[in-house]
Amino acid sequence: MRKYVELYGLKKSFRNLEVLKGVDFQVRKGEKVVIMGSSGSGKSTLLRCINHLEKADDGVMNYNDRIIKLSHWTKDDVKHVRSTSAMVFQGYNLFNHLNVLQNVTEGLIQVKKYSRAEAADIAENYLEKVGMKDRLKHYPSALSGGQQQRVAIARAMALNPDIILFDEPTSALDPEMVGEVLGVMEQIASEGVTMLVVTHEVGFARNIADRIVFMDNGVVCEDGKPGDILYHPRNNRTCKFLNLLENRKTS
Amino acid sequence: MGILKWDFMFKAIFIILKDGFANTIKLTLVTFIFASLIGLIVALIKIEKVPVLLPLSHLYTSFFKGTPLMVQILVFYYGIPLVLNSFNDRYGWNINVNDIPAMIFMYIVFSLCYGAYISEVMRAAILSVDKGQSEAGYTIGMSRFTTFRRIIFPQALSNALPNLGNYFVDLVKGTSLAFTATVLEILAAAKILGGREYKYFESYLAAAIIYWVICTLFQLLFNKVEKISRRHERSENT
Repeated sequence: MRKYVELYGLKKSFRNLEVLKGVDFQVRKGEKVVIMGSSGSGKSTLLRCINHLEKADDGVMNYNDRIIKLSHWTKDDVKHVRSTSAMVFQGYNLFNHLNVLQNVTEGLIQVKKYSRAEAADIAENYLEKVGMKDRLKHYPSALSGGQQQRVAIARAMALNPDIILFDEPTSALDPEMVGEVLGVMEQIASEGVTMLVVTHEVGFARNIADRIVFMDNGVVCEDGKPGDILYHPRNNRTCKFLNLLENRKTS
Repeated sequence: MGILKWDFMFKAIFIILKDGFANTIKLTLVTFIFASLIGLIVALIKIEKVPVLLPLSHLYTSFFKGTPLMVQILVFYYGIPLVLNSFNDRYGWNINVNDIPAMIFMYIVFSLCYGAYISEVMRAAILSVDKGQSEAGYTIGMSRFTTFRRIIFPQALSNALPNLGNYFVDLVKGTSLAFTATVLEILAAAKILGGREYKYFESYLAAAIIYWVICTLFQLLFNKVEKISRRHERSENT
C-alpha cells in the first residue's frame, strides 16, 4: 500500500526539554496505527507536529506526496494537511457555543462550503453512526464525556478526511464510557479511513491496529504487528510498560 | 411644601429630557460602538503582539487609563483647535475650527477613553476562551481568521458582556462631563433650567432621577442579553 505520511528526523523541544529526538515514522493509506508509550514519551507531540498544532524544530514530512519542511511550513502546507486530516482530542474540544448538530456542520459550511441543508444531511448521517442523532439540539455542556467524544468523532468523520489523528481519545473518560467511544472507533476503522491513534487501550490496539508503534523518551523504540509488540516485545522498555498496564488493570 | 417643589421637579424631568436626552443617548451609543471597535482592535494587537503597533497600544491605554476623563475632554476641546489652526497656517489648509460641532470632539475623546478600558475587557475575554477551542477550529480546516470569527469571538463576547454592561452604564453617567465642552446633554439642560428658574435642587434631582432610570433600564437590557448569550451553558438534559 502507498505511504500516506512519512516523517524523517522529527525533532521538537519545549524550552530546554527535548521531547522528540529524531523520530522516523510512516503510515500507509488506510492503515490503523496505534502509538503507545509512557507519558512524556512524546506521543501527543508527534501527532500535533503532523497537523501543525505544534511547529517542529527539525525534520521533513512527506504528506500525501507533498514534501514539507517541518520547521518552515508554508500557508499552503498547513492548508494541504488540515484539509485532508482531522483530529479527535483528549478533552473533546467541542465548540461550547454550538449545539451538537452545529458542531458537525460548522466545518462543512465554513470550510467545505456546503449549503446549510446539505451540511445538516451529512451531519445527521454521521451523528446517527455514532448514536447521537437523538441529541441534535443539545449543547456540549448537557452531554456526558462519552457523548461529547462521540460527537467529536462525528465532527471529524463528517469532513471525509483521509486520516484521523486521535490524541488519547478515551483518557479523560470515566471507565464506563470508554467502551462506547472505543466501539465507535472500531466501527469507523472498518470503513477504510487511515487512523493514527495515541492510546493506552491494549484491547483496542490488539483488535484494530495493523501496527503498533512504541515510543520511549522521544524516539520510536519498537514498531511492528500487534501480536509481536504485545506478546513478544523485544525492547526492555516496552516490556516494562506493558507489564505496568497489565498490573494496573488487574489491581 | 418645604425644601422641594414637587410639581416643578416633575415638570423639570420632561424639560430636561426634551433638551438633553438626545445628546446623552447619541454620545453614549456612538461612543460605545467606536470604543468597542477600538477595544477589539487594541486587544488583538496586544494578544498577537503586532510589532510597532504593540508599544503604541500600550502607550495609548496607559495615557487614557492614567488621566481623568475630565482632563482629556479639556485637553482635546482646547487643544485640537490650536493644532488645527497651526496646520491651517503651515499647510495652507482652510478648516474653520468653529464650524466643527463640540459633539465631534466628544465622540473622539469619549471613544478613545472608553476604548482603552474596553480593550482590557476584550483582551481578558478573548484569552479566557480555552486554547482547545481554536485548535479544534484549525484541525477542521478553518483559517485563523475564520476560527476567530466563528469560534473564539462569539464565546469571548459572551464572557465580556457583564463587564461591557458595567462600562456602558459608566459611560451613560460619564457623558455628563460633556457639558464642560458646551454639549447640551442632560446635566447641561438641568443646569440651564435650574439657573433660569432659580430652582437648582429640583433640576439636579430631576437629572439624577433621569440618569438612574436610564442606567437601570440599560443594566436590565444587558442582563437579558447576557442570559441569552449563555443559554448554551444551561443544562438541557431531558
